[in-house]
Amino acid sequence: MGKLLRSDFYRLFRSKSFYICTTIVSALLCLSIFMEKWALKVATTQLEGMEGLPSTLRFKDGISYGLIAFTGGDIQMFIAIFSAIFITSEFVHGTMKNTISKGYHRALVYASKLITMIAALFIMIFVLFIASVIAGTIVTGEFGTFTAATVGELFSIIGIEMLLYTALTALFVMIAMIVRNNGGVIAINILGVISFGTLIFSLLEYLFDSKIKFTEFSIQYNISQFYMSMDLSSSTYIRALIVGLVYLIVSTGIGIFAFSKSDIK
Amino acid sequence: MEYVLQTSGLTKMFGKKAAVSDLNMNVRQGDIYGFIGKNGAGKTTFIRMISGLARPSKGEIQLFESSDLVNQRKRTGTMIENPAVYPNMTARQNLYYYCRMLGLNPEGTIDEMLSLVGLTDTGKKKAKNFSLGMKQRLAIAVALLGDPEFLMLDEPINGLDPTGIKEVRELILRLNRERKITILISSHILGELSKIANRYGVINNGILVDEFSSQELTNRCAGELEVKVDNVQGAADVLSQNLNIQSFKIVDGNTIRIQKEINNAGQINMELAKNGILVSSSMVVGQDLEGYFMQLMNQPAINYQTV
Repeated sequence: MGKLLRSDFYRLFRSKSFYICTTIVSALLCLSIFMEKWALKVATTQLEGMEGLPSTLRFKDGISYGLIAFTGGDIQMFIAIFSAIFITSEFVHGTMKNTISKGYHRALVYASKLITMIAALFIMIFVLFIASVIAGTIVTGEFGTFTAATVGELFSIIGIEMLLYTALTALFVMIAMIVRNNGGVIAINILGVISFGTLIFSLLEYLFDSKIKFTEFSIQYNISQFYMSMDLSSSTYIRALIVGLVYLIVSTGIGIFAFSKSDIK
Repeated sequence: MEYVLQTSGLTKMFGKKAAVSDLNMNVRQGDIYGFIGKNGAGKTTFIRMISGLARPSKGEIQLFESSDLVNQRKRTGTMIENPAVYPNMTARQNLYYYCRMLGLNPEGTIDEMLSLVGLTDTGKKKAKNFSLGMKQRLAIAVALLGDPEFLMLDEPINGLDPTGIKEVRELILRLNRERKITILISSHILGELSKIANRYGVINNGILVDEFSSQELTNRCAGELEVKVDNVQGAADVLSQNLNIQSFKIVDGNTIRIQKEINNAGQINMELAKNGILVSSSMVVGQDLEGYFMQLMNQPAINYQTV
């Protein structure tokens, strides 16, 4: 397993698309922070007195903006694209044949790809955090401080958000390992999971006459809960924790089963 | 250990169609085994099953006389169909990736492999810019990492120009002679295989129709004595009883083909005539390797009549 991870990490850090995706997602987030500042400036100078316009920025300092990296941004879409590129290329170029024919257990090969993708996600989020802290500090003029009371709360939020993103990544990896076609996987990841995912849950809720709150069990819903507010009930934390774990375990289980049973071309 | 590969009743079904059907193959240690068959005959499917890429529907596989395939596959190297390399990496980087995967020390190993396959001077050129022959050789180098004792090469000369074919052929021979690697090489070009293989298996529509050594191939392609007679059954009796010739086949009501007796045409004609059989013609009919291959493909098995 260690050897497989070493080789997959080597490929990850040699992958141009990894750097491109990380750079673009960071640039987009920084741009949105600067745009917010610019919009506020326009509003205060030209449209003074008009009701409904924001009078202050959403966050007061760089660290607060940095937290967007964990709770918002376009990271979902970019990890969906990158996981599709990274994993399907093994099938497109036929290199997966080399790995399997060297006698590695398929479950280990799958686990190695999943761990590599999770590591890529964490690196992306870390870079995004640094970039947004810098942009936020420039925009607000304040870096921000941590108080002992908020640190614990922040870590629990970040931990759950990371778990939810990990679960989402596991879902993307499962799709990539089953479908194996680059374009198809990107389409399913973006349209199927990110865009239509919530829609499907809403439809299910409608079919059951809202007796079961299906939407509360979607990953996107749970991720967005922390984006909208940091002051959440313990039941929200527990639900997000359960949703994350269930998605992670189920999609990994299905992925390993399907990969182990299928032929490799 | 005598055998590196043994299969028994190996079958792969795709729906109701058998891509490989009840295939029994034995590859001895030290062999260069030529696996011949036209496109779609089942060669790749067979190799994919051996290398763990496809699950057999039925049958057994033994590698190095063991059924513990997961561990025994670590002693094999495989190159299946198109050369599988990372296009955005150089030859050195590709090998470095697999060295890490196999826990090999890249120092020395990479240079040795590049030298072995003749890719030492590719420098920073990425694999996507390699010629097909270079990609094939890089893929062979990848398969050779970890010092495999058994190498499976699926169509390694496909699409190569004559120079590329020669290079791959010489590499295979060198690996067999110098490194004592047993090689299973599939191709649909019998003429090319005949320059390197010492044993052959012919597959057609998923069935192994024949297995023979290079000596047997030489004999079979050496030519036959075709005799036209008025009484073919009588001639068969004379051949087997009077001349003790066992290997011949009756082609039609007047024609009989005798193997390995080209130099005894005079004696055969005389003996037939002596026994009242009218010989209207007697000639040597030969066939080249490709002709023999075509015959095998069109005729599931050679029915040499042994009396």
